[in-house]
Amino acid sequence: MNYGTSKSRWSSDVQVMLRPAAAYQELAKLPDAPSNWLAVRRPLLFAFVLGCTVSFAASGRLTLRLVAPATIYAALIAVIEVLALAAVRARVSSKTSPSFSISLDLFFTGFGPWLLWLLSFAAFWAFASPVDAFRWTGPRWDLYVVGPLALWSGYIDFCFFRYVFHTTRWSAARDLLFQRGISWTLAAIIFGGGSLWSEIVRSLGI
Amino acid sequence: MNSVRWFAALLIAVALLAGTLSDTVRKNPPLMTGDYRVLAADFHVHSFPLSWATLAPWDTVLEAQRQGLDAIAITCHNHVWVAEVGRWFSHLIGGPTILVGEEIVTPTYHLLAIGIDHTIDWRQPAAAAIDEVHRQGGVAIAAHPLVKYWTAFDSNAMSKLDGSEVLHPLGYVWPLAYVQFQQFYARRRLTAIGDSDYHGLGPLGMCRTYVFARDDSPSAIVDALRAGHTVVYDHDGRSYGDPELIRLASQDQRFNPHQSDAPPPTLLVTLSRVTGVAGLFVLILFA
Repeated sequence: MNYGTSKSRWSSDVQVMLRPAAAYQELAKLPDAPSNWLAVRRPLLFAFVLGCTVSFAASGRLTLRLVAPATIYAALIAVIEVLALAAVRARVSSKTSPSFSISLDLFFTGFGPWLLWLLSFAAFWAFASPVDAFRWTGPRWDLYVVGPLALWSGYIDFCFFRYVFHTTRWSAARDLLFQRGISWTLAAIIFGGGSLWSEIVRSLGI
Repeated sequence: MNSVRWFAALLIAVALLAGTLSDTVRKNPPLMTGDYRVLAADFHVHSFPLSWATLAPWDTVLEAQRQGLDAIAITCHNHVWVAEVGRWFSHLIGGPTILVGEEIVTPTYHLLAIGIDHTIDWRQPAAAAIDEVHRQGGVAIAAHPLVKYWTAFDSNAMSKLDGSEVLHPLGYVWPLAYVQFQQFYARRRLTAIGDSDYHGLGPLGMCRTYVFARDDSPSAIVDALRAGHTVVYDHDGRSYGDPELIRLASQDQRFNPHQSDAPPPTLLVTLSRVTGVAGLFVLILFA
């Protein structure tokens, strides 16, 4: 099933990126036709793009030696996002939300900003010299790009909870915080847990 | 699948094929000069999980091999078990020498413990951590010693410290950082270290250390680090380390001090880059 919105030349990811409220209202009206493929296709795409980004960043090319294992490790992030969404969905009335597979597909449709950022990052590391790539993807980049990106992505997910789960503004905001709290905490522990505590101590100035 | 998806899939398949075919190992034949075996090494390498790194220890070992490195230290944040996995895997495939290490990340300093066998607690002053590194038979190296970390390295810690990173990718990105690394290195006679602080970005060994050791065993490398038998070259040709070894290396025409320079991309690599990036963009924007 093609779960896109109106007959646009752009993917539904782009439509959700550009006008999340309208796109999610339109997508939520489509008939509910759950399937296993719908549940896994976008999480897999997300993991694959992350795997490709890792390969470009490490070796400047797409090589199976790196893409295959990095996609598997990146799937951990997708699994964490799925678990966090499941936790939120468990709190929402099943009468107002679509099936879990379609919820997953629509939720991952909102990952467009992160995918575009990953691709831009990959392109930088593929084509720029390592020194230039470090210069343009270092801490300053984090501050100026990842911050606004997190806000943009947050607004998209807010629209998802509001219009796909048919909740109030306050409930959508609460669901967003709950989902982020679970997924980002788990991801931070798995990817950076070794120094997390000492970094927290440093940040708090204890 | 619609035609746009087929087109994206085709581009990505071409990228994967070209990239995989071009993914070869750089051959660095063993080099003996004087009484020393000259080893290309990177002593600040992180692996997934728990250290903000993208490559698992086995991928890291293969990547080190691909970059022609003779030795690396896997130095994950505040633990050693991932490094032990890397050492096991490298032993299994006959890969580069893997030293078990740890980057001791504390709120006030970062310290590399190289050649240890147990995790060292981060909740202690630098001097005490260095004592523990030495007790385990390892060497202690100040990691990216920016000025904000200097106060943690008081006179007691400095008297015990074995080496410092005088070359680190931050130095290329931020010139002031490079000055601070040089100033810290000049505080007393320390072993010169060039490290890439590898988290999966850029070439492993982009900044590297040439170790003049009796052989490529972990104990010989640790002994050489303790004795200050290292040389480091930056991309502008500046050199750091033992002056006698710098002279020895310059007289040996087989020694290439610019092994870390990335070779120009081949046709296959360029094809992989162009089709890979284009295919992924088409997939996300249009498919």
